Amino acid sequence: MANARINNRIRRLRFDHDEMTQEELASRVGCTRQTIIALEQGKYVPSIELAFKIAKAFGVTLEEVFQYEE
Amino acid sequence: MSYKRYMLFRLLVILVLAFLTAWATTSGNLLALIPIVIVLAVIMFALRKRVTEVVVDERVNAIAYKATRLAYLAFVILALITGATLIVLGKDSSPELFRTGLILDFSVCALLLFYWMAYIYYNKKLGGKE
Repeated sequence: MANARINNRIRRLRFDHDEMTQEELASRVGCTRQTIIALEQGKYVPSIELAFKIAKAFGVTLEEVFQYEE
Repeated sequence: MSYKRYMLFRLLVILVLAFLTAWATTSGNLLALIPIVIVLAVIMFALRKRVTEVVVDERVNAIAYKATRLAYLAFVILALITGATLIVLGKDSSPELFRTGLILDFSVCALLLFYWMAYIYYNKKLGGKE
Protein backbone atom coordinates (compact mmCIF):
# COMPACT_ATOMS: atom_id res chain seq x y z
CA MET A 1 0.00 0.00 0.00
CA ALA A 2 2.81 2.38 0.83
CA ASN A 3 4.34 2.08 -2.64
CA ALA A 4 1.03 2.55 -4.47
CA ARG A 5 0.94 5.49 -6.83
CA ILE A 6 -1.64 7.11 -9.07
CA ASN A 7 -0.17 8.44 -12.29
CA ASN A 8 -1.99 10.61 -14.76
CA ARG A 9 -1.77 11.73 -18.39
CA ILE A 10 -3.30 15.16 -17.93
CA ARG A 11 -0.42 17.04 -19.52
CA ARG A 12 -0.38 14.70 -22.55
CA LEU A 13 -4.16 14.96 -22.93
CA ARG A 14 -4.06 18.74 -22.71
CA PHE A 15 -1.64 18.93 -25.58
CA ASP A 16 -3.70 16.43 -27.55
CA HIS A 17 -6.69 18.75 -27.12
CA ASP A 18 -5.36 21.73 -29.05
CA GLU A 19 -2.86 22.57 -26.35
CA MET A 20 -5.54 23.33 -23.82
CA THR A 21 -4.17 25.62 -21.12
CA GLN A 22 -4.11 24.71 -17.45
CA GLU A 23 -6.36 27.69 -16.81
CA GLU A 24 -8.91 26.45 -19.32
CA LEU A 25 -8.95 22.93 -17.90
CA ALA A 26 -9.26 24.34 -14.39
CA SER A 27 -12.28 26.44 -15.33
CA ARG A 28 -13.88 23.48 -17.10
CA VAL A 29 -13.61 21.19 -14.09
CA GLY A 30 -14.15 23.89 -11.46
CA CYS A 31 -10.84 23.93 -9.67
CA THR A 32 -7.85 26.27 -9.45
CA ARG A 33 -4.91 26.30 -11.88
CA GLN A 34 -2.65 25.45 -8.95
CA THR A 35 -4.55 22.18 -8.52
CA ILE A 36 -3.99 21.28 -12.18
CA ILE A 37 -0.28 22.06 -11.74
CA ALA A 38 -0.13 19.88 -8.60
CA LEU A 39 -1.93 17.05 -10.42
CA GLU A 40 0.45 17.17 -13.38
CA GLN A 41 3.44 17.12 -11.07
CA GLY A 42 1.99 14.12 -9.22
CA LYS A 43 1.95 16.04 -5.95
CA TYR A 44 -1.78 15.74 -5.43
CA VAL A 45 -4.23 12.89 -5.97
CA PRO A 46 -7.72 14.14 -6.88
CA SER A 47 -11.02 13.04 -5.42
CA ILE A 48 -13.03 10.59 -7.48
CA GLU A 49 -15.41 13.43 -8.40
CA LEU A 50 -12.64 15.67 -9.75
CA ALA A 51 -11.08 12.70 -11.55
CA PHE A 52 -14.38 12.02 -13.34
CA LYS A 53 -14.73 15.70 -14.22
CA ILE A 54 -11.23 15.77 -15.73
CA ALA A 55 -11.90 12.61 -17.75
CA LYS A 56 -15.19 14.12 -18.94
CA ALA A 57 -13.47 17.37 -19.93
CA PHE A 58 -11.19 15.38 -22.23
CA GLY A 59 -14.00 13.08 -23.39
CA VAL A 60 -12.18 9.93 -22.29
CA THR A 61 -12.64 7.28 -19.63
CA LEU A 62 -11.18 7.54 -16.16
CA GLU A 63 -8.61 4.83 -16.90
CA GLU A 64 -7.31 6.78 -19.86
CA VAL A 65 -6.42 9.66 -17.56
CA PHE A 66 -5.44 7.96 -14.32
CA GLN A 67 -3.45 4.77 -13.80
CA TYR A 68 -3.06 2.99 -10.50
CA GLU A 69 0.36 1.45 -9.94
CA GLU A 70 1.37 -0.79 -7.07
CA MET B 1 -14.28 40.51 -10.16
CA SER B 2 -10.91 38.77 -10.45
CA TYR B 3 -9.22 37.27 -7.42
CA LYS B 4 -6.25 39.65 -7.82
CA ARG B 5 -8.54 42.68 -7.64
CA TYR B 6 -10.30 41.18 -4.62
CA MET B 7 -6.95 40.73 -2.87
CA LEU B 8 -6.14 44.38 -3.61
CA PHE B 9 -9.44 45.50 -2.08
CA ARG B 10 -8.82 43.24 0.89
CA LEU B 11 -5.42 44.82 1.48
CA LEU B 12 -7.07 48.22 1.30
CA VAL B 13 -9.72 47.21 3.84
CA ILE B 14 -7.01 45.84 6.18
CA LEU B 15 -5.10 49.12 5.92
CA VAL B 16 -8.26 51.12 6.68
CA LEU B 17 -9.00 48.84 9.63
CA ALA B 18 -5.45 49.25 10.96
CA PHE B 19 -5.67 53.03 10.62
CA LEU B 20 -9.09 53.19 12.32
CA THR B 21 -7.96 50.84 15.11
CA ALA B 22 -4.95 53.06 15.75
CA TRP B 23 -7.22 56.13 15.78
CA ALA B 24 -9.75 54.48 18.13
CA THR B 25 -7.01 53.31 20.50
CA THR B 26 -5.22 56.63 20.69
CA SER B 27 -8.44 58.64 21.07
CA GLY B 28 -9.83 56.21 23.66
CA ASN B 29 -12.93 55.63 21.54
CA LEU B 30 -12.81 51.84 21.46
CA LEU B 31 -16.59 51.35 21.19
CA ALA B 32 -16.53 53.05 17.78
CA LEU B 33 -14.54 50.09 16.54
CA ILE B 34 -17.52 47.73 16.76
CA PRO B 35 -19.66 49.30 13.99
CA ILE B 36 -16.51 49.90 11.92
CA VAL B 37 -15.54 46.21 12.11
CA ILE B 38 -19.11 45.17 11.24
CA VAL B 39 -19.27 47.50 8.23
CA LEU B 40 -15.86 46.37 6.97
CA ALA B 41 -16.82 42.70 7.43
CA VAL B 42 -19.99 43.27 5.38
CA ILE B 43 -17.93 45.03 2.68
CA MET B 44 -15.47 42.12 2.60
CA PHE B 45 -18.32 39.61 2.40
CA ALA B 46 -19.93 41.52 -0.48
CA LEU B 47 -16.61 41.75 -2.33
CA ARG B 48 -15.92 38.04 -1.79
CA LYS B 49 -19.30 37.22 -3.33
CA ARG B 50 -18.34 39.12 -6.49
CA VAL B 51 -15.25 36.97 -7.15
CA THR B 52 -16.21 34.81 -10.11
CA GLU B 53 -13.15 32.58 -10.47
CA VAL B 54 -12.64 29.44 -8.40
CA VAL B 55 -10.52 30.31 -5.40
CA VAL B 56 -11.17 27.41 -3.04
CA ASP B 57 -11.23 23.85 -4.31
CA GLU B 58 -10.69 20.40 -2.87
CA ARG B 59 -6.89 20.76 -2.83
CA VAL B 60 -7.14 23.98 -0.83
CA ASN B 61 -9.54 22.22 1.54
CA ALA B 62 -7.13 19.29 1.86
CA ILE B 63 -4.30 21.71 2.70
CA ALA B 64 -6.50 23.48 5.25
CA TYR B 65 -7.44 20.12 6.80
CA LYS B 66 -3.81 19.05 7.14
CA ALA B 67 -2.75 22.45 8.49
CA THR B 68 -5.61 22.47 11.00
CA ARG B 69 -4.78 18.97 12.17
CA LEU B 70 -1.11 19.83 12.64
CA ALA B 71 -1.90 23.10 14.44
CA TYR B 72 -4.45 21.30 16.66
CA LEU B 73 -1.97 18.59 17.59
CA ALA B 74 0.83 21.08 18.24
CA PHE B 75 -1.45 23.24 20.40
CA VAL B 76 -2.76 20.29 22.44
CA ILE B 77 0.73 18.93 23.17
CA LEU B 78 2.29 22.34 23.92
CA ALA B 79 -0.63 23.57 26.03
CA LEU B 80 -0.78 20.32 28.02
CA ILE B 81 2.95 20.38 28.78
CA THR B 82 2.93 24.11 29.60
CA GLY B 83 -0.19 23.75 31.73
CA ALA B 84 1.19 20.79 33.67
CA THR B 85 4.50 22.63 34.20
CA LEU B 86 2.70 25.73 35.50
CA ILE B 87 0.58 23.61 37.85
CA VAL B 88 3.66 21.89 39.29
CA LEU B 89 5.64 25.12 39.59
CA GLY B 90 2.83 27.16 41.10
CA LYS B 91 1.28 24.53 43.34
CA ASP B 92 2.95 25.70 46.55
CA SER B 93 4.44 29.06 45.65
CA SER B 94 2.29 30.93 43.13
CA PRO B 95 -1.51 30.69 42.95
CA GLU B 96 -1.50 32.71 39.69
CA LEU B 97 0.75 30.22 37.95
CA PHE B 98 -1.31 27.35 39.34
CA ARG B 99 -4.57 28.95 38.10
CA THR B 100 -3.11 29.71 34.67
CA GLY B 101 -1.94 26.11 34.37
CA LEU B 102 -5.37 24.83 35.32
CA ILE B 103 -7.10 27.12 32.80
CA LEU B 104 -4.69 26.01 30.08
CA ASP B 105 -5.19 22.31 30.80
CA PHE B 106 -8.97 22.64 31.09
CA SER B 107 -8.96 24.49 27.75
CA VAL B 108 -7.20 21.50 26.21
CA CYS B 109 -9.78 19.17 27.78
CA ALA B 110 -12.60 21.32 26.35
CA LEU B 111 -10.95 21.28 22.93
CA LEU B 112 -10.62 17.49 23.03
CA LEU B 113 -14.26 17.22 24.10
CA PHE B 114 -15.37 19.39 21.16
CA TYR B 115 -13.24 17.29 18.85
CA TRP B 116 -14.80 14.10 20.19
CA MET B 117 -18.34 15.48 19.75
CA ALA B 118 -17.58 16.69 16.22
CA TYR B 119 -16.04 13.31 15.40
CA ILE B 120 -19.15 11.45 16.57
CA TYR B 121 -21.37 13.83 14.59
CA TYR B 122 -19.43 13.40 11.34
CA ASN B 123 -19.01 9.67 11.89
CA LYS B 124 -22.79 9.34 12.04
CA LYS B 125 -23.35 11.75 9.17
CA LEU B 126 -20.92 9.92 6.92
CA GLY B 127 -22.46 6.54 7.66
CA GLY B 128 -19.95 5.07 10.10
CA LYS B 129 -20.98 2.78 12.92
CA GLU B 130 -20.34 3.34 16.63
